[in-house]
Amino acid sequence: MIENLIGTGLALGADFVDVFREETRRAAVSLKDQKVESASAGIDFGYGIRMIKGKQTLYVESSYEDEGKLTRMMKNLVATHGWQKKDEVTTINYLRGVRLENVHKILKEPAKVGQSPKLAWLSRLDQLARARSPKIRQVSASAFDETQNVTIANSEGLMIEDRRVRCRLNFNVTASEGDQLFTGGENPGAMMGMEFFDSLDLEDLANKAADRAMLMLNAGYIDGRCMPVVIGSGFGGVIFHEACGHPLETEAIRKKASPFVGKIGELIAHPAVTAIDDGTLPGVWGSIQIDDEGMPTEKTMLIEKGILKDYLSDRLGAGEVGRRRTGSARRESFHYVPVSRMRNTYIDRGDDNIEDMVSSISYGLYAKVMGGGSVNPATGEFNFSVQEGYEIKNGKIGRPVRGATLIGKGHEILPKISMVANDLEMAAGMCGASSGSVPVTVGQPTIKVDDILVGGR
Amino acid sequence: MTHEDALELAKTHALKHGAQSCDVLYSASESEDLEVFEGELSKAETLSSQGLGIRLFKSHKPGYAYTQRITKEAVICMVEDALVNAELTEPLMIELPEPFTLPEIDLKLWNQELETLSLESMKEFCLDMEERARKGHEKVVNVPNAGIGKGSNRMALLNSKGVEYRMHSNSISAYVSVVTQAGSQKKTGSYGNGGRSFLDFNLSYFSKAAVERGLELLGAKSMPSGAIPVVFSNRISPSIMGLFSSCFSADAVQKGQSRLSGKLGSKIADPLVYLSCEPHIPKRPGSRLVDSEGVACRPLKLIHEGHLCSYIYNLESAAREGCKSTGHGVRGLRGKAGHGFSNLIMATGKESLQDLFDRNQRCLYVLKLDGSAACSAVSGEISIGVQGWLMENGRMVQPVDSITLNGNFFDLLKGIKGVSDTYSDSFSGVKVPDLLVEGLTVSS
Repeated sequence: MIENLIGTGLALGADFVDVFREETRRAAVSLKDQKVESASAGIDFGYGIRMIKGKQTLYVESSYEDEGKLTRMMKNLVATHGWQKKDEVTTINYLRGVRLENVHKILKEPAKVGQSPKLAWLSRLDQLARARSPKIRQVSASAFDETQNVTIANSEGLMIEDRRVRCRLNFNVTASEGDQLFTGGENPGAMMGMEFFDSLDLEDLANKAADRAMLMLNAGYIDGRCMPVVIGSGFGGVIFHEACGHPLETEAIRKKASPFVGKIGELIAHPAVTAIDDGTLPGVWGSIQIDDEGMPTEKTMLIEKGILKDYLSDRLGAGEVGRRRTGSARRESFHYVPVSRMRNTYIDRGDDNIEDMVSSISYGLYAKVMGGGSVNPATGEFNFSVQEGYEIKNGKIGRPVRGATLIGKGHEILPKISMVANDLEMAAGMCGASSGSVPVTVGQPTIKVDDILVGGR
Repeated sequence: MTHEDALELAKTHALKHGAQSCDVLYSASESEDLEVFEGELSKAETLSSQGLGIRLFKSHKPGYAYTQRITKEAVICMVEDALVNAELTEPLMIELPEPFTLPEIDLKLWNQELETLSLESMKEFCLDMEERARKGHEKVVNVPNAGIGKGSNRMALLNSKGVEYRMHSNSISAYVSVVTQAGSQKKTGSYGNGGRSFLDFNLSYFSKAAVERGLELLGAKSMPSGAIPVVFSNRISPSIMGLFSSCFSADAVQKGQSRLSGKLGSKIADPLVYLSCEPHIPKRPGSRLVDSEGVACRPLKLIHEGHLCSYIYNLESAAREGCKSTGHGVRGLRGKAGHGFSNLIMATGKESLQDLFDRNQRCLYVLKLDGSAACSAVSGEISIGVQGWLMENGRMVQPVDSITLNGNFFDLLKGIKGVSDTYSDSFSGVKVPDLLVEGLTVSS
């Protein structure tokens, strides 16, 4: 059926056709209010058929496994775009049954283990967090697993299968005092089987989340203004991801909606900054084996010692921008056309340390744990919340502060990253863009930004 | 198999294999979308998708499962998944609703005109809209996004008590974004809207509004930190309300995650504030007669003259308090029912936008929110990047960016000192007029 769909696409006039067939099983158990509230499981299934001619992409997506229906949808879509049909279509010799050896070893298959072990993990987290303090008023946690089986075929003869198994824990606590309520959370994830949950230090997770929520109850506010900021390791990398990573995707570059258009080879960041997007890290949440166009993924050097080296490219973006593909084409599901996306993106280790960073600041902010944020790729304008922050005064870390926001422009901040420590950590997240929500990892060592606008009171 | 057969099979198989009750949801979507870039069609998509989801109760314990494959084997597998999942959960003592007579209200959620609208017409509209935007002003340097799409959804709900409810809706939407440049400064301006009729779309307005929005903040610069009265444009005031609306959910209140806990009957906002759910407004995205648990949707006052009147309930949160669901159950195919609004409306006031500006010698007119990650519906904290205009003596004097606005949502409600007489034109289930708010501070 897949071969027939590709043949149909070519006969309708496409220069290139690919088919993405997906069957994904997702299962989750969630706990709240000391009760297992929900246990769910299900199958997402469907086909995505992409036909490309020049710069035009026509895309058919359907959950119906019905060749006749899919063919009609393809014909109807092409009919309105005036493509010239081809009388003869070259026979394609598919290289069938290709399945790369998976570097992401799965020890405990979610489907075989079932959902019942999740109950003990979630209950334990609830107990640990509540035991931390009577101020912990609510705990919510969910354990999620996903097994995505895909077949990707294209008119160049590719026919490849892949299996992606991921597990994630989402954990949030609410602390209260008087009418004050604050939350803290931890959300680790991995490209692993159910052994991922065994590997977690539940006590550490519970303590971190509970302590952060309680810390904010009595936190003050920072005097908002431009100031130096030390950004903590791990999820602090979300700033680079949003403010620099997205504008380095050819999806933004090809639409000229990025401050980095035409900047390859130029110094765009402080020489202390080397930044990488690596899809190959075994077992890491944002890793992949092949991308969603069927290309083996790779480690891509984005910025080396401040100089822009490469973009992240999918097939269409690479063609339009004139770069090579980087195995970065990703999509949430068959509902989306794949575009260039990040995988595991991080600022590489440097030679500095946090003590020197803090001691160099007379007044500033230590953003130990970042929250979420967003960016306008066209202008580079970004905003991020600080989940756990501290005032820096006279070279020392001082009182905790709540509700701080960092705002600025990504390309203007890069040259201001003047110090990079060697404590690189990674953190799991979900990234939303035009091809849906995909698992990514962000990371960095502790860094110092010389000047950034901090929102406070 | 047909979806009707699948619904019936899921229900009967569940009841036959140990479920005491169940409800089954079916949803099918079709859509067509187009994007244009630099005067050419860049992408066109067509979608046809369906799915089935079941919630069943075994010894009062809920289990959930779903499938996008609609075959006999897949439906049976789904039910068996749900039965296994029910072994894992705690009992949930709810009674699914009995059948009832629907009110005779035509919500006008379906327009046959859209079914006959051709892709060709949509493409013409989109190409024209993009060209007008591109040529709309010399400072427009790029039009990265221009698109149009129409979609339809058919939904069916069946439960073991005999409730059978079906609805279908369709809509169309279009959007265009421009990038403008003056010197080294770039700004984006976007306009998007939707509706139930293509004939209502004003082509020239889409591009004109996007270009105006792209130009209006060029030349923006920062302003001094400090407290200042703020006027939130009706373009973004619904976003502010939407960010914090979960505090009205009975579930959040019951589980200690809302600062509105214990505040029923209390003054929580300025007396100017009237907030309600209005599920029966024709053509609105949030309009419905029945929620996704099969409970009738009715209008509900949330805030009246600044006093909190009610929370919103689904079957579960209502059962916990021994009251009735207010018809705010929201459930997708994949899991448990949450809470959601069926059109959240803040009543308009009597003043014009200009009247709000004139109330203070100096104020900040906020036209754009830059993200919302530091806003928490639980704590009420607001720390958000904004862009807009500094106003003096009722006049725009300087576009402003590179600032954050800081405060707390629960203080903001009490600090509303003016409500305009106008909503934005957006096709949205949340409608809030322009608001004059005191008590917020700017950081720069």
